[in-house]
Amino acid sequence: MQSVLKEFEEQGVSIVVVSFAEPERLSHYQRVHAWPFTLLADPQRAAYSHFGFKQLTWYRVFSWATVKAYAHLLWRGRRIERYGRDDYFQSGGDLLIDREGRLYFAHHSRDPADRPGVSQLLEEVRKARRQRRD
Amino acid sequence: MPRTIGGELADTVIVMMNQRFKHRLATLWTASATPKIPLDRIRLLDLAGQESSLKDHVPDLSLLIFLRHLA
Repeated sequence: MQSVLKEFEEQGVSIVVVSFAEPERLSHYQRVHAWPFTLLADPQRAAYSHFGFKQLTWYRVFSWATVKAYAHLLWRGRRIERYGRDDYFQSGGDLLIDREGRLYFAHHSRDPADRPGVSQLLEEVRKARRQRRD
Repeated sequence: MPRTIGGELADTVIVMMNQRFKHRLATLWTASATPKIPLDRIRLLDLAGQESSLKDHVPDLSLLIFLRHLA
């Protein structure tokens, strides 16, 4: 994790994590995990809606890809953690954006296991930096 | 009329400048076509429940990770 963070820092990219959980639940989550990122709460899902993160269908949430992903995590010793009632159908994703609101990259997850890898994100960062230089 | 070295060089420079100009034009178009989102209008809460705009938390180029449920 630290080496990944360092790579983003070296590229001049800050990481902001957004959750639709209420601040109290998100605060508890952060006390448990102590992630070195800025965590922000969007309980009204205004930002989720603004950036097009919609509800997933039942077959996307409980897809074979999701089952495999969670099975792999459990096999590696990850516990199932609960932080209160949750909405398993809310989609997530990753965006690369600058302060002026220019969007350089957007990935809307099609299912829970669908996330761009670190190397892909770093490549998008490099592309964005080249685009900004030009 | 036989071509001179000077003439060939001049032609080469003109072609290179033309290509650079076209590339610059394409880049400017791309930059202007990249959608802009008003981050100051997107309100979020910090862990203490204080409201602020997303722009306050995006110093420059930033990776925004939108979570699904907490796990």
